[in-house]
Amino acid sequence: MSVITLQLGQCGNQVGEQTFSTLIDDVYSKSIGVSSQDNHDYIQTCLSTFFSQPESKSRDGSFDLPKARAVLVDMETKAVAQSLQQARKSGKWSYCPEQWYSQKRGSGNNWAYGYCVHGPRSQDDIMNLVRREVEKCDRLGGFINFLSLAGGTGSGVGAFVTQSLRDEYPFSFIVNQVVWPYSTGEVIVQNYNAVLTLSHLYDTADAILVMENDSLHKICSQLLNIKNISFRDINKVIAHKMTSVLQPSLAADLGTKHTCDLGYIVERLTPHPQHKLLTVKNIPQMSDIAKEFSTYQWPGLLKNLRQMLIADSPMEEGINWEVKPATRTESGHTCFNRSISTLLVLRGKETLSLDASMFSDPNIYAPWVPQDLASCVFRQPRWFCGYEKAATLVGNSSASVKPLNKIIDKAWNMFASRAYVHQYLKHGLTEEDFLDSFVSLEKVIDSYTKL
Amino acid sequence: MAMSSQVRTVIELFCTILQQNNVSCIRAEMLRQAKYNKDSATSSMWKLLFDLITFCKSEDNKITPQNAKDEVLYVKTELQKFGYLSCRLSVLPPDMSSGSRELLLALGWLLHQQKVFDKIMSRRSDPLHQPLRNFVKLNVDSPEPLNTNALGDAIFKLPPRDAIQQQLMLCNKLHLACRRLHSFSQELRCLTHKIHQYTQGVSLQTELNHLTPLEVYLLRHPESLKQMMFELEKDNLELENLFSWKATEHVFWEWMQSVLNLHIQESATIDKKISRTEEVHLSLPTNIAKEIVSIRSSVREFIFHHESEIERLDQLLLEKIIKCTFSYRRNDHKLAFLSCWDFNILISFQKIAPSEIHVLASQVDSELTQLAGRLRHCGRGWDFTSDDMSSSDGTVTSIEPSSAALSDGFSKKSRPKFTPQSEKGIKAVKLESLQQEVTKERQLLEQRIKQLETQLKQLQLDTLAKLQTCLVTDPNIICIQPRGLKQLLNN
Repeated sequence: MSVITLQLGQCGNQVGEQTFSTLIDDVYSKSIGVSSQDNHDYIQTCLSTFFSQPESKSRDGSFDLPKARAVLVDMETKAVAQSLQQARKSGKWSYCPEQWYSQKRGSGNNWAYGYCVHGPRSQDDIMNLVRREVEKCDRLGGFINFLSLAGGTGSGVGAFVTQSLRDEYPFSFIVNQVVWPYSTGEVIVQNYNAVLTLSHLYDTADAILVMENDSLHKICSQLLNIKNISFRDINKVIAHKMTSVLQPSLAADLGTKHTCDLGYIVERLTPHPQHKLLTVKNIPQMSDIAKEFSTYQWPGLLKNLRQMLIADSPMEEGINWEVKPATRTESGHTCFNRSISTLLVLRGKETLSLDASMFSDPNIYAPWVPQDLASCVFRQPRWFCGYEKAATLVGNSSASVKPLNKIIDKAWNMFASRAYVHQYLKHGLTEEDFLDSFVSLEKVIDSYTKL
Repeated sequence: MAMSSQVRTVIELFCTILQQNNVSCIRAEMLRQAKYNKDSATSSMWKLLFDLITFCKSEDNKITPQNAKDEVLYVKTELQKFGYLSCRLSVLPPDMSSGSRELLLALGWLLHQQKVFDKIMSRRSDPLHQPLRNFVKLNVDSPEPLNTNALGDAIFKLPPRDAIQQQLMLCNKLHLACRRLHSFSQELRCLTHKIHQYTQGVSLQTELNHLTPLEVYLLRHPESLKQMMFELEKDNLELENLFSWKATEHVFWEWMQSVLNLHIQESATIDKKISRTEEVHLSLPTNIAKEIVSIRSSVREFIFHHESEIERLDQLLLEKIIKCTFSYRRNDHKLAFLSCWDFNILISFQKIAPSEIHVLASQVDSELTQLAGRLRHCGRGWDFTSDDMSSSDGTVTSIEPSSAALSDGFSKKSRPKFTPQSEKGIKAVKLESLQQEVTKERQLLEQRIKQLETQLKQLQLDTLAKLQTCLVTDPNIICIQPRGLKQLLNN
């Protein structure tokens, strides 16, 4: 199985590049905790999924570096060139030399310019690059698109490209990883862009992995103790989360064990067409220095992780332990974070025999979710990124409603006075498009709050 | 004795073949008991028939009947669908208590009519051509069959809104699983293609130019050859069985004959016992009567619907003709007799120039063709184009002899324009003219017959004269003539 990655816009390119280097770092990590044969299988699975490996030796007798199955897209040259250079500098992997597309002029944080102008203009070229990647795969496992919601290229061109992918590969799995802007963002129209992007992605993508800049920032400052937080630090956290889900693991399902693939993750996590927003919580997360002096026990980790899910807390510090799954307010609303489905990925020591039944408690799921579909566990005895024990929880839950609500409110307030709308209208968008987007996202919020 | 032991081996062979090909599992003893209508064999015979029917219908997902009653009902209906319309079978009791011989006879009929053994042979597969995944039996526990009833019950317990959500979720999950399956099958195809590509030029089978995945697997895992050998030997044995069945089949059918004879002997006593309460009939579609009624009413409606249109067309036609008649009434020539579908109009024209007639006639003609076309379109057949309304030379011809006579009669009238007649009168006149025609024809025919008779006589006389001269010239000829001829000569 192979997964093709599309890096869209500046943010997408940076996150994508970081994800690939984290994958490679984990692959070549020293502390593994398994036999060399198992480690070899792990590495081969990872490399064949995300990289294409040269079949023959090059002229000087050494193997070529693995090449990422990626297509880099940006309307400015800077981010793409930077990514290409970073990869080359690592000396462990590289991008395919021709698999990128860039233009001279960016989208200027205007979603409409990206979606209505850049998108259609560059569609053929981008889809050609994608097709070239797809033809290298025995089995196309799916697409992972990295993009941010705030900018113009990532969001506008990203939404357009996702739609083109869906048209061209109707049976493929498309997962979009979106970076949620800071609530005090620097781009004035970021809420418009986010609303338009999310509503379009909701129609075309199979799952939307949400990474909130605000919570990532908190993780950087409180868990990793970074003083001056740069985007690179934040991207590292995103990449860590993504990698911990995507690296090879085994799923036990109906008595068979099989390597999980992107399609399986999508099938387990977003079986309901109206619920597609995923959040990733992982534990433990700490700086490299602290790693050496820390030990954890599984029961504690899992208990923390469960409470993080229920109380919707982005990290292990400052979890609200008061929230209990059974509590409901008088109006019938739940005050805890209710889920459709969860996926627990356990990596490291003793994972194969670990009991994860606390995540199949029917109380934390919507009442209509069949019990055997609610939770699922992937296991991998190999250590992950130097962590002896690591647990990741991907949840399809109402956690994303709060930030989504905020964005919609802000965007609506601006839209009510038609602020900056003419900037969008002049590129071919209509006010009805705005309204449609608002309506479809309100529907999403409604279906999540009714869980 | 030798015969009976032969019968036994053939029946045992029959049972073995059914078992080896996963059709059914029955002991030969049961068939023997069924011959003597023993009740102990009945349930196994029902089972056998059920298995054979599902085999013939090649249903992969074998339906498993809930109870004996369902199974009996299924077998009875399916046999009737195949065409086995035996009354005795249809009245067998649903509790599988008796009637094993009847079932045995049905079995014989089914074996022959559905060509069961041909089907068995055609469905066999060769171990060397089986798909790789059948050969490599992975140690996978087959998933437990989902308890769909429990799932359904759980859904019904939910409030409707939640039930819908759950259905939506399950449906979408199925959709996603199908997509995964699709991608897996694509991968399988892709990898198979790779194997074919890389083994180009090497082959173990004459018709291929590459190795199959199974062959590559066998070459890579020599220890699995043992399993292949075993499978091939098993296959050989099964084929031998089928071969010897072909050779000794007749013994089975002779035995079946003896069963039938026995059945006929004892049928009188059995018939009395039968109760007709449990009879199963080939089910007609239940709503067939309703369908007939509804179709009938729709046809009627259709006719009613178009009735008005037809009447309107008729009216139009009439008006047109009247118009034409008035505008050309000065003309001397009689134009035509128009026979219309449900009314006859006689028109005669006087003093009309040939060119005018021509124009008028072609006008009317095209008008009529159009109308007729529309009428035909409505389902009322009437080919007007055959009527020679427009004659090219301008002189008007009448359409048919009878109408010619009629138009003759009417043209003599003082005001020869449009003269509608009562239908009765027209009929009478028509009849008269027809009678005249008939008598004329008869006279003509009588004349012709007389003529022919005289010709025949002349011919006979000529031939006789020739014969006489022959006789006179050649004394060797002996001629024996019928008496009638002599009389003829004398005459």
